[in-house]
Amino acid sequence: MRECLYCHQYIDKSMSFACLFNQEKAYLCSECVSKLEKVQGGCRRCGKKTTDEICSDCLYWQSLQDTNKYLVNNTSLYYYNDFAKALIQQLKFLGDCKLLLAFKPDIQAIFKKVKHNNIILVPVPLHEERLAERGFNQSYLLAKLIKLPILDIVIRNDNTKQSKKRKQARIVIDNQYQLKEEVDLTNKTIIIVDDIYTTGATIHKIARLFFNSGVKKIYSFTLFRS
Amino acid sequence: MLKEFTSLATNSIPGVIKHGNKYYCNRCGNSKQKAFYRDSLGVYCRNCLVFGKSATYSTIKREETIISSTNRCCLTKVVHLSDMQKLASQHCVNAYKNNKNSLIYAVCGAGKTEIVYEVILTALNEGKVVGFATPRKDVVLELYPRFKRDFYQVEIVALYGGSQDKGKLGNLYITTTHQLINFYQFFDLIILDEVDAFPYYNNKMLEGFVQKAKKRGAPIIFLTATPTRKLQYLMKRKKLDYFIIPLRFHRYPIPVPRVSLTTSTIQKLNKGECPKKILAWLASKKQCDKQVFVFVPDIKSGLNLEKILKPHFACEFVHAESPDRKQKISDFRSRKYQFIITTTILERGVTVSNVDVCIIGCDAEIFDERAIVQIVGRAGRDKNYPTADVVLFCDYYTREIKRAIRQIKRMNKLAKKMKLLL
Repeated sequence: MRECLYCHQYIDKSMSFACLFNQEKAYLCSECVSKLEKVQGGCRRCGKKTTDEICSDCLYWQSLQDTNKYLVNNTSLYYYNDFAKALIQQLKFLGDCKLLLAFKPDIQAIFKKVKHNNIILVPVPLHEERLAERGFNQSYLLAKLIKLPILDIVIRNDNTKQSKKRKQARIVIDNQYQLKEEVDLTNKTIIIVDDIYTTGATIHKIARLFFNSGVKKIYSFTLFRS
Repeated sequence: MLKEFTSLATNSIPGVIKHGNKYYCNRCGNSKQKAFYRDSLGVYCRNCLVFGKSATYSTIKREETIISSTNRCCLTKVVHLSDMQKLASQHCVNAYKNNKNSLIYAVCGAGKTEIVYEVILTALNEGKVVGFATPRKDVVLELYPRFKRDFYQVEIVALYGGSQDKGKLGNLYITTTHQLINFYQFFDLIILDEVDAFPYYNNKMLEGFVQKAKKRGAPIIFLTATPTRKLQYLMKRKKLDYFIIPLRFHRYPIPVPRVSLTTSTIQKLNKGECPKKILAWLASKKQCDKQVFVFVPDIKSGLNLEKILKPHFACEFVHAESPDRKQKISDFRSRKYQFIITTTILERGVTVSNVDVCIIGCDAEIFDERAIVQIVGRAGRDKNYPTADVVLFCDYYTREIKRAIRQIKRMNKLAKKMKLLL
């Protein structure tokens, strides 16, 4: 019997013939799974819950013309509801990185459809101090669940939490992130991986770093969309 | 009086250590390898994660032995014990003197707290440190003033989430099991109340806390009304000393539940129907104007049942998330309505006189032996109304139902044999 990673209830899996063929492991109990809300519809570019085709945030990013060319869209798995908040709380602030395994089946299902050549994953970095404090970079671990090559060349300069900033402070473009070295990524496609997409500032700031490296397209993948 | 305390050592040690190829958590005593997980820096313990991370790269603080004073302690007043309580009390003292674990198995309302006074005094007078641990915070809050009143010249420390006493020194600690986290080889005697209650029951983390908080070889005295399967096994195999108090203070037998078979109860409730048997039983209770506890396995079926019964009967549904829980319960006590529908949250600690009890969907997993015995224990608690009608409605007999009935009958028989019943 397996325990649910979050609530520690035993996962109730009734025996059937399907069990023999279906090797997929369940990490969350059915009750916890039902509390997760999958992203459906919404903004065409970022998945925000909205009736507009493209949400106001995305229009703002579009107005900063140069991004438009490369950054195609964002894919998120779930909405950032109360349950997701509790999960993130346990994952990031208690430091329970095993919880990420819970999303493994869904993440791999999404990336099954992706053609694998020339794709590189770029996890959003943590500041060194924060990394030492937490013990892991959740974005990096998330990227590891997707079986694609990872390029960890971005470093983070400031140590303030993104969630502690106002929206205006977030979207100001500064040198919060930096490339370790210049790399040649001609004809490559980049997927930026992060845990939560709120205003899109982080993703866009990192995307900017790659404009001069000859990438073909930049996508982003986040676990939650708030 | 505590000037003679010499030291309270606070040591820093790594949170998780490796013994051979197995990890061990120094904080919660966990050694189940499944509960450890590796992150980029090392290995951490998921068992006690709620207290912050305990890992190979983190350090935890723990409080170790103190040397306490040897003052003469005594009770402020004479506590009158019944014959059974006296015997039980003597049993505890003997168990403590022989350094043996012991179980006091007494039905609800037998006066378990008074029983342990004697053994606490004995230990304190030897200059030992005693812990009275319970999984429930409200028990700590209830016992602290009582102990403070009854014990003379004893420094009592109450520890619970949000307590003011943290870091204070004493020789009698009343604490929730969670608060034992910071203690290591500290207590010479631990008394563990309500061993079978949530969250202690089936919680490896809290069991580990208790084991590491006591000194090596120090005895534990368990107090319970419904021993867990594990304890019953130990009793049966004579691996654990025990003392049974099989009767209530009013010396009437515990009502034995009756089983009534219905068909697909929960499914019917979901469809908005109610089995006729249950309706008929409730109607008969309405006629003789008796209040009824109706227990349901989950909130969903409770809501359904409330919907069905509301037009015909005066009833309320009380569950963990209902906001006016306290109000509803006190309304029930003052007989403002007749039927209280509830989940297992009311299985303990609610005393209403002259009630009948029924469980609907008793075959559900949540109603295990302990839950059923506790629920049956709600009935017939009043001296003036010692009998009650207790019905278990179920689709089929489960092992737990049979065990619960057997346990109740056994206790009644035992009381009869000891010629204790009125």
